[in-house]
Amino acid sequence: MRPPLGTPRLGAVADAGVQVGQPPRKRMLTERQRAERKLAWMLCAPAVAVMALVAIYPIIYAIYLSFQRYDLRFPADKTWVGISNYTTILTSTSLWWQAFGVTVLITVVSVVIELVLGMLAAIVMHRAIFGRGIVRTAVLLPYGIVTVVAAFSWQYAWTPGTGYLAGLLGGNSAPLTHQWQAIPIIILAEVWKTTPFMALLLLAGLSLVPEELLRAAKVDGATAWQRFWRVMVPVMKPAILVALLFRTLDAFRIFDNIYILTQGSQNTRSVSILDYDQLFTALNLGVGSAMSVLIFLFTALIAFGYIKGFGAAAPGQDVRGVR
Amino acid sequence: MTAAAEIATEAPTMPAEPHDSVAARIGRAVAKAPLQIFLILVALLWLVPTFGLFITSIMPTSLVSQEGWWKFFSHPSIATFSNYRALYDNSTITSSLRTTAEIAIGGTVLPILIAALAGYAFAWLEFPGRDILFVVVIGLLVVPVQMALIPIFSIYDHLGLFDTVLGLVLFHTAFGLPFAIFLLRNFFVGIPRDILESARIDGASEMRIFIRLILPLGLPAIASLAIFQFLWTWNDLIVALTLARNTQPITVAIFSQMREFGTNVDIIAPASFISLVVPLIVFFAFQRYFVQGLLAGSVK
Repeated sequence: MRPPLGTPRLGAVADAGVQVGQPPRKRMLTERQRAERKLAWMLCAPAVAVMALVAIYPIIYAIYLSFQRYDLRFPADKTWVGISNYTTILTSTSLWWQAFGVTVLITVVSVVIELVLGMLAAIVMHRAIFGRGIVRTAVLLPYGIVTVVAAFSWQYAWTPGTGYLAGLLGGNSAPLTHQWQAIPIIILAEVWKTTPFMALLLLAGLSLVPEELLRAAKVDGATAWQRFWRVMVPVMKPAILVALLFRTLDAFRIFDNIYILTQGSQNTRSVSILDYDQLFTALNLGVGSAMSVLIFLFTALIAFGYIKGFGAAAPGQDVRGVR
Repeated sequence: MTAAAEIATEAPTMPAEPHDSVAARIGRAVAKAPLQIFLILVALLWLVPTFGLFITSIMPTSLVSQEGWWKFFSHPSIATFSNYRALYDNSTITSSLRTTAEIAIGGTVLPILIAALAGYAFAWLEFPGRDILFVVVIGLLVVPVQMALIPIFSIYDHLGLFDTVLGLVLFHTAFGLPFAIFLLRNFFVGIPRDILESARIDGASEMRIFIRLILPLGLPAIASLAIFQFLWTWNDLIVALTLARNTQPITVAIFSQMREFGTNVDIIAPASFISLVVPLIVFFAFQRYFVQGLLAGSVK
């Protein structure tokens, strides 16, 4: 994390070239430092207050609920049941693991496709001489579109009779009513909307790759493929990490797209849809909250996995090695 | 991003390749032509769903449920703006657009204000508990919104915030803050220390430094954050669906149109199109900052 605590504050000290540590200065807590602390706490106070009330308290409350039997239809039955909600969920293959499988499938497939397409688009946009602005604008358009609307236009496209894509399959087929057809459509809608985001991030990362490095590699006889893997990818690593991390976390929590396209019918529920149904349709707050906690744990695990897997180039840490 | 690209090209480079003549450059441009065409084709393909939606929105009500929008190409004369005119008189849609604007503006301005203050403290002030607090902020980044919906529902019920714009704004603020603080802190940390030190030596107060130095210098990050936050709040369906009943933003209004009158395409299509125009304007107006600021928060 930066700046490290105890870094010399005054320019004069730094100029003297002496790495003055924290302890000597800590002993004499000056008026200025005391004022600084007070100011810092004051500046953080609004953020802490809002987050505590609207984010941290609800999370703790949700964790508490997850250990209760609490069904809004039978509120009098509310009791502490320990981890039984979790065991109920984790042993139900037809609901939780089914939804979990669908979610993982959608997440993995769409993120992989987005990464490949996004990388291609970024490279092409980076290399293109003219029309870069227009192409970028056109490709970016979906990201500015409200998900509900985007999903609706896809649903409309696959509606038999009036949809332009349903016609391609011929006859009166309604692909959204079959699981194995609906899931690719959900993935398509997801990829369509979020590839631009991926491409933008990767393009930004790409612009950090020094031209002379690529040229030097070329002079040394590296093939285009080698230049890509040995020069571009390592330099772009932080950008790739950020793009993957953001997209994976978002994809894992996919809700709007499925909710509009199929409403989770035909076994196309994601974990978020299942959770929402438990909470707001079945009104089973105990089990629903336990699902929320599980989703939270899995997203945290994904984030942790990426950060570990990619080494030090993690958000919140100092990113070195680039420029 | 463009700035970074410029730096990359302006940086002292190796001597140009010997055969880098005008002819070679033209040759390369020609060689790239298929690529350009391919690019433009993909871009056009990418636009088809949006375009179809727009054409649908200007089709007459009587035709829209029977014909595909491509009929427009053989009969361009069927185009009409009557759907939009009807929408103007549809008070559900117009009021939901106003509600969306209120939520999106409130849900953008408030978290940025709060996060800028906290971001400055995290970046440049020393206080006990700073690191722990920052870890908590990072941890909140991965919290799914569903987790908070039920507890917030009951809190809002007690406080009278249920079904109010303020309630929705507060929710978006709380869930926007972790990312906002994270991004702004990382950007502020990148501001050269010398500038701050000389201001301090000149006797400027921390508040003055914040307003006169940090905010103007942090503008790219703040702008990109504003786009993000605006798009997110404008985009939201699940929060408004849960925490509001009559205070409907446009996403919920469109959604309930779809639920109640499945074939009401003549309202849904133009309303959808209007709902996407505003974020697109915001998006393209600040597009430049979008990537720049985002990268500032992660890649340096």
